[in-house]
Amino acid sequence: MTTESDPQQLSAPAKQADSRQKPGQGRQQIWASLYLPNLLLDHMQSNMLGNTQTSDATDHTAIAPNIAIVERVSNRQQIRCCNAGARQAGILPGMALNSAYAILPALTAVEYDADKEALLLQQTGEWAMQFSSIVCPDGSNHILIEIGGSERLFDSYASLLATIEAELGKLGYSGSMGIAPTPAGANLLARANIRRGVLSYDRLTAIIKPLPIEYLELTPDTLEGLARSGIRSIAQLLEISPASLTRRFGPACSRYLDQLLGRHPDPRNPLRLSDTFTRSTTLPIEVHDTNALQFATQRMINELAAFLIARDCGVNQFMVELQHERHDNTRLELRFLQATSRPKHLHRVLSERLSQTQLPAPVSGLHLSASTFCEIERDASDFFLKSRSQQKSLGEVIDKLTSRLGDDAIYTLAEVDEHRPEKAWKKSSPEVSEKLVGNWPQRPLWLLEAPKPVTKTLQLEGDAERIETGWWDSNDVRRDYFIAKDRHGTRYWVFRDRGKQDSLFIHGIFS
Amino acid sequence: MTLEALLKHPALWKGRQQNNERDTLATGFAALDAALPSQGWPIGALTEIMVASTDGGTGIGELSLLSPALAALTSSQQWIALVAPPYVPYAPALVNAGISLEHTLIVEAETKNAFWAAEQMLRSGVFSAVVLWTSANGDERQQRRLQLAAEQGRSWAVCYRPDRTARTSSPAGLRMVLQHVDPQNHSSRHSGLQVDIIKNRGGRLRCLHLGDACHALRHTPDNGSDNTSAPETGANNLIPLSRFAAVDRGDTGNAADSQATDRTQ
Repeated sequence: MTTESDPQQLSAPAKQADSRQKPGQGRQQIWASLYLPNLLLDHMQSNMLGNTQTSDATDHTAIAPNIAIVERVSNRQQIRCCNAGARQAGILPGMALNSAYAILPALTAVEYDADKEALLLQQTGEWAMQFSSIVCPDGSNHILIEIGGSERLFDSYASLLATIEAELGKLGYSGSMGIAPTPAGANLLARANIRRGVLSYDRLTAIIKPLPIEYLELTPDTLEGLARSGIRSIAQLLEISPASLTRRFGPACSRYLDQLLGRHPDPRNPLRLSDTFTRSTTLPIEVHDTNALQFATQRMINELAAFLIARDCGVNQFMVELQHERHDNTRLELRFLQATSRPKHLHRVLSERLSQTQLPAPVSGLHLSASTFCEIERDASDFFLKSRSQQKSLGEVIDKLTSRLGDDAIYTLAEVDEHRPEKAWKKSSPEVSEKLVGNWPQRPLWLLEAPKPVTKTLQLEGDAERIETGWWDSNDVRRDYFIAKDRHGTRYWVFRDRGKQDSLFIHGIFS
Repeated sequence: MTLEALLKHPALWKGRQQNNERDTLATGFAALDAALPSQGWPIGALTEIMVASTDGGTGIGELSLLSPALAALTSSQQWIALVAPPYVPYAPALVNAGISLEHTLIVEAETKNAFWAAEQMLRSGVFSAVVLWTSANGDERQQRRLQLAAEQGRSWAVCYRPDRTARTSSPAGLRMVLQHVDPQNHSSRHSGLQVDIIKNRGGRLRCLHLGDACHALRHTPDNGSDNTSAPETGANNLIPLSRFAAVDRGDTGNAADSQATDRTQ
């Protein structure tokens, strides 16, 4: 316990904290806050990353073009933020766009769009629902994740943090994280980039005290007023009585401090998963090659997979639309034999399909939508009796083949109870159980799709098998079938049309 | 220590039995099983089959040669795949041969994609057997990829190739040339299917006659007498190595080497 804290003050919030927990929820809430200050910039940058045909997300600066987000402040266009490349060239936030162009003529400037950023934050929130069921996107580029309930699923908070950061990197976003027992506290630690997990109110108070007040989520006016009063650190601010703070800066300020330290409840609205999954991306530069879409599609697929994990289901079809400026959109419908939620598999099938797609025009945007979800078959292991470990399932292999060869190229066979040989079989698909007929007379392993007139001397063996059927439809068949052998030993299945005695046709090969 | 006890010692390596540990798949033909190391089709390796001198290279029982093994796999619920078959695999005949259609996948593809598809399927380990037909000569690299994929997926790969490729070298573990012989046309005392093993990793080169057993229209694997009509005396089975043997003997001699290179690649 720290000396400067009033013991009475500390015991009170602890009691309050207990009482605000719902009955039956006998655990403390622990919040992880994900701070994504450059969400829009990261999003743009990773979309352009695809253009350089690399999926190495760690190598942003070396290859990414220079991008800046521009905002309009009192009739003047100025830089809101820029990526590392642009910063190295000497561009600073707050600089006028014209000056920035003077330094870096090749700068890609993108207009700041608050709605877009809010949408991205919301989507990233949906993505974060794979880690916890309580996720709240928070106004200023924060995502709050309640991880108290998820710790057991992961080994520790440290490994959970590492997992979240690794997954975030796959989306192409970068950010900092903080863990605290209050949402506002977690946000504060995330902004201050203090990675240590803080699990108690006392520790939180101790850790935040030396921090400057700029990290607090207070209005700019309040912060300026505090600075003018000579208050620099949070410790100094906490020494002021709440009553005088309220008098000076209104009730919001002292209420925020109470919520920060857990003296006052801080209810949040958890995000709810929508029923459908849609993602749209506009590409900063038009793309002529489907390879360049890799990163954008990879992120969409990762988000889709996270969505599926959060909903605990899989997809067996989804739609990708490639948007063109001067052409009708290209629609790709992807189907899967078995519902899946594995990002690797989803992405492999999508890229296989993209690589087979001819682009009618450059691509300016992407849209992915999935609306039907189903349960994943989890216990597929005894589907095959093979005991050896299977890295992939049958469905994944078939999906991969289908995406390259087309739907019609892969099938299983089935018997049809029909006397006409050419109609005694049909194509079927795996997992469709077909009626068994069995008990066939001698039949060749190969059937010719169209019977071929015999042009060489064949030696007929045995008796004829008469097939006379089909009079009820137009395909009337009256044939005598024989087994015939040529001088090489090849055995054919030949027939003679009754009525046309002289012409023999080959219909199959005994192989 | 008696000889019996000595033979049971785990550290002792018996030359003839070196491949006993390897997975194999009974061919369903006693004479063929006997000719192959560890008595069956090699799992985790590529088997190349070349059909000699018929038009189209088909129709002498070359597919029936596989059907007992394929039937055994599918009846134990394992998947097999037929890639780029030259004609329609006729469902009633497959059923007659005991092959379960529910576990037989047909993949239609032209040459380049057929190799790709076969490789994917072998590598996945989902398919116990993948049979590929190709009319192109193909190159050693493609065959090596199939061989490696079969090793990786522990699967039985079969590739039907044109008979002219018998003279080229190949990384396949087992290569055979099939021919229909007839006492009238050939200077042979036998008739029916002649299997000429031109490469046999871990085994000997042989030439054997399966008679018309392969052409039997309905296999009854339980019926031993039906499996083979090979002559009773083993000596008759051993016929001087045919014209291909001379070319490939060096290949076989280096079987251990080629195995080593397979691993390193």
